[in-house]
Amino acid sequence: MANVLKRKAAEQILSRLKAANLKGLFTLGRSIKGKLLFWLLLISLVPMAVIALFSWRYSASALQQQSFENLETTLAFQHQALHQYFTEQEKTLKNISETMQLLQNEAHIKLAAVRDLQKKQIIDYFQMRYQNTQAFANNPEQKKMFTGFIKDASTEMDSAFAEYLTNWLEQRDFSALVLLSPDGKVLYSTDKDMTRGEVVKEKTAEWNALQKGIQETAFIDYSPSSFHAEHTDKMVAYFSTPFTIEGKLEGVLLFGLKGNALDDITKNPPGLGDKGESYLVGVDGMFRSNSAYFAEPTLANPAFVVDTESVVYALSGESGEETTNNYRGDYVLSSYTSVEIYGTTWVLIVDLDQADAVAPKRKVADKETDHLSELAAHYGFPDLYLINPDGYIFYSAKKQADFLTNMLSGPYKDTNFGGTVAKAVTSKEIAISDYDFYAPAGDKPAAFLVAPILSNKQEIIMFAALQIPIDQINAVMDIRSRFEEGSKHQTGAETAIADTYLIGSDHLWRSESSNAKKYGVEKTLLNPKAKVATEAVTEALSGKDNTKIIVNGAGESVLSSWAQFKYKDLTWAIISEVSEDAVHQPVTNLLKIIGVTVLSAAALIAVVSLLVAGGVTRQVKEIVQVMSKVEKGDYSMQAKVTSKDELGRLAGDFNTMTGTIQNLIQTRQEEHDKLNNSIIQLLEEITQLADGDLTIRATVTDDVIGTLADSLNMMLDELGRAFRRIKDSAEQVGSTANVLSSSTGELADQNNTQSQLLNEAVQKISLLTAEIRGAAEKAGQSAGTSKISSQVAEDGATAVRETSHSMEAIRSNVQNTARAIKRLGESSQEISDFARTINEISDRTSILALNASIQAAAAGEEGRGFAVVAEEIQRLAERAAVSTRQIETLIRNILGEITEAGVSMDASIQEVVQGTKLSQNALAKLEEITTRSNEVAELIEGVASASKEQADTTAALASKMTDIGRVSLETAQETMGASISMREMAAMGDDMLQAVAVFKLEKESR
Amino acid sequence: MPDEQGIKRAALKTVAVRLTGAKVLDQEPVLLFATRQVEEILQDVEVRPLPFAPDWLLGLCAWRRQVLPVVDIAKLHGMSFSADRSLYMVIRLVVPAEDEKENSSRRMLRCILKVSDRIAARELPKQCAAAAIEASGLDPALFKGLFAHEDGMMMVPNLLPTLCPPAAWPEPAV
Repeated sequence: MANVLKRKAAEQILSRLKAANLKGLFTLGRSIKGKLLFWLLLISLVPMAVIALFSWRYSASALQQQSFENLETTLAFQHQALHQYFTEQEKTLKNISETMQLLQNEAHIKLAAVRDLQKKQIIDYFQMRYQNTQAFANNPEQKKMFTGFIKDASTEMDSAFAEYLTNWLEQRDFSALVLLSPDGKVLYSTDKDMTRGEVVKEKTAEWNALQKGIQETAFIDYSPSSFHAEHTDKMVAYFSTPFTIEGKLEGVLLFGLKGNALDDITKNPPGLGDKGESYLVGVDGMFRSNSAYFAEPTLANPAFVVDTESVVYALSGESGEETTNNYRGDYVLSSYTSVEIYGTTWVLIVDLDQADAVAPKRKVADKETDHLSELAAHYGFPDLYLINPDGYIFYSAKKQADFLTNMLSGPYKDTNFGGTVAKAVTSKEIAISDYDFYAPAGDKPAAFLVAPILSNKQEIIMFAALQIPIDQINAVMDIRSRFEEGSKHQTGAETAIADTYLIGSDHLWRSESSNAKKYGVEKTLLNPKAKVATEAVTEALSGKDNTKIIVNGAGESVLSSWAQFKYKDLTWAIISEVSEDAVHQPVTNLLKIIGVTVLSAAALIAVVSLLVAGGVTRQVKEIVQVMSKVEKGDYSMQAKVTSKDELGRLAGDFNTMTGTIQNLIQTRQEEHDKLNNSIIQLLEEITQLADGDLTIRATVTDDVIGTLADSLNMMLDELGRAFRRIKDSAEQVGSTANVLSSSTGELADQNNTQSQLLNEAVQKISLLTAEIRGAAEKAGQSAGTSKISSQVAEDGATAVRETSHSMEAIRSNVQNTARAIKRLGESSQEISDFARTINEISDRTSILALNASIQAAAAGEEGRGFAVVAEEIQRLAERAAVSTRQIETLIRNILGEITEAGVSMDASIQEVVQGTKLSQNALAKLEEITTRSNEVAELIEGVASASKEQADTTAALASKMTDIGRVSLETAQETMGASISMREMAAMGDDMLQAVAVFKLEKESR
Repeated sequence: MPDEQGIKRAALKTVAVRLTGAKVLDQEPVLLFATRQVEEILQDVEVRPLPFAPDWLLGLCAWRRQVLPVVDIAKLHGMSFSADRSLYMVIRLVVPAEDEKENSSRRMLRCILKVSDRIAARELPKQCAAAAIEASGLDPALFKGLFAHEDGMMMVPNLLPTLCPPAAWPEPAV
């Protein structure tokens, strides 16, 4: 029994497990060890997994949020830093510009001072020569020496005097002395080229000198000489002075000016550096001094013509300073003035190289340098330039290929530098270029900042330009990264390092990526292969800023923050980004730690549960083995007791229980066998009873079965008697029933026929009744309709009568109205007459007033008061005239309308009269209709009531016939029932006899 | 030369008659009379026609025991006006003496002008520009002047040549 229960319980559990489809999951649960292992693992690992899941989610989102904030901060910082960098560059450039302006101003001042000094020296020099000339001519000793030449052309010069003369001329920078007769003949000359007796040619220097020298001491500017046949282009200048003996003009002395006379003054001007020079130019544009830059003498040399602006300005009498091209085409600071030398105007120009002026060279440790180069080196500029207003680079710190070229027209005009210079020239403001490959810088990317330098008059005197070093921009972009690295070391916190970079409007890099290989290139700056066209770049360039996760140019998923960087004409996208993987690295690490912890915990729990379960399960296994034997009915087995705990005690108790069960089974078996034998005996005795033999009797024993046999015997006795009686009665019933059955059958048939006939009659009567009733109803309805129509006709008559009365009233009203309208017309006519009268009066008044006003005016001052009254009267008369005219119009309109009203009134009256007649006719007809309708209604009502009575009578007849039919049908049915009962009864009697005949009955009971 | 008082009076008032519907130099003509020239304005007069008279001379009329000629001024100037009714204006004229120094030989003439009903006493129109009579196609002898004004063409008629042609009128019996 217990086994069965156990099995059932086990099956139940298994079926439930199957139902829950957890069999696979719980296969471990077949043993206690397994269950322990399973549940312990489940209880410990699920919370861990939940914690891991939540911590992963929260930390990931917090980390992402923090990274976004960090990124935005980084971007803002970098943006600020970059802007500050450019602002600093601009400031530096402005400082340089101011310095340049100052230096140039100083140079101008210096030049002006040198020029004025030189001018004074030149004027002094010529003054001295002038005085020398006069002194020579007035010296009586010398006069005496020359007297002979005047008297005799063949006179020889005294050799001692000749020597003296040569020295005298040499010391005073004269090249030659010539004595001309007043008619232009050479009387004496120290110049070997001039032969005595020769006559000067017209328009030559000597001829000019003669013309002027006859009158007074004069200076003759450089002009072609008469006596240099082989060198006709040779030019000479003279001081000429009259030569008189005892007050009589005997000739003219000409003192030829030495070619290099002024070199001492002009060739080494003080404080102008290597490239500074000063020179004199005549009105013919030719030099009046020798240039230090040409080996050939430039003095009065037609091969060297100076036609600079300075010459033109100076010749027009101005003095000043300007920055201009000099005769060599160099850009110089020039100071010019005119010099008056005894009626001759020369121009003195002092030039200073512009580069020397603003960036003077100096030697430091045997190396030539200047302060601009030092500045460029100090600030780390790849190059620093000074450009003159028309785009010519006159100074460059590095002196690369672009030095001394013109940025507006030269070979580099189409570079970004050239474009920026052009922009600065146009805008007169600081201009900046974007990065581009620049050939003079070794085809490396370069950007330029160009600032105009303005004079005090706000005119551009030059431009200062600097090349913006890319490494500094890279350094600016790198600041934040390094800062973050530092903070990481300090705090030990895991912070992903953000990359910040710049992208230009052409989607190319403007900074060098720290990890260029990521983009598949060596260098990213301006590299078309590393073109970045991400959402970040597009949005930032269009001026939008945002922070979100995107895919960057290298195809990585990154957290990116971007903004537009705008500096003057420069529009870049500045982007800070950090790899999403890097951001999530700490979370991944956390997940790894949690995973390792979970696995360790699982292993530990498995070992512990195996150890604990091992002790428990050995005893349980013993019990289970014994129980499986018991289950098969073997109660002889005993479980081994292996432990002393509750399970050990359970094993002991189990052993005792199996012993007790074994004894109980044996006792029950013996009792069972005894009872079995008694039953078998009884069954054998009563076997014939089954065949219907009620005569047999069982043996009565002393046990429980004996009592049963006794009772059975008694029952058989009683049963035999009863069957005998039944058999007899059945036979009687059978015969009687058969007789009755045949008679009742006939009766029933007759009744049925009668009933059918009655039914048919009743149906016909019913149809008749229904028809009569229908006729009665229709007659009733007709009567109602007649009544209603009679009523309607009466109502109609009443309405028509009322209408007729109303028509009468209307006719009377309309007639009254017509009369009133006629009266109104007459009144209006009267008003019209009055208005006409008023109009006439106003006309007359108006003319009277006009006359009065004319008279008043004629009366002059005295009539003025009266004139006012007259005018007022006239105005009143005019107003009255206007009003009466309006009244007349109105009255005319009213009269017209009244006439129309009268006509329509007459028509109305005619219509009303016609209407009244018609309504009276209608009334008569309606009254006739009412009378006829009433008569019809009465006739129909009579027909209806007669039909109704007839229908009622027929209905009563039908009802009675139905009753009769029903009764005879019932009788037939009952008779038929009786006949059937009789037949059944007879059958029952037969059945009963047949049934009882089976049993074998004792004969004596009959 | 009119005396000072006369100027003042003339400046005070004029009587303007607008000939409605007529046109002179594209403007509606307005006849101007000095107030002292106008004796009376009559609503209607009984005109006795004269045989063989020009069409502008409507006839003769009795006024204050005097017989005065009635002149249709519009017809006289070859114009016509449209008006609800016509009015008649009694005008007085002074015929100058032949010898200007002799004031005593001046004499007074009166006539009645048939005019439109648009008569008004008004100030002398100011700010008007003199217009050439020749350009208007009118007889220069019959006007003292034409003046273009915003209210219309102001015309000052000279009735003397019409009413008193030299030597046409006999010397009145003294």
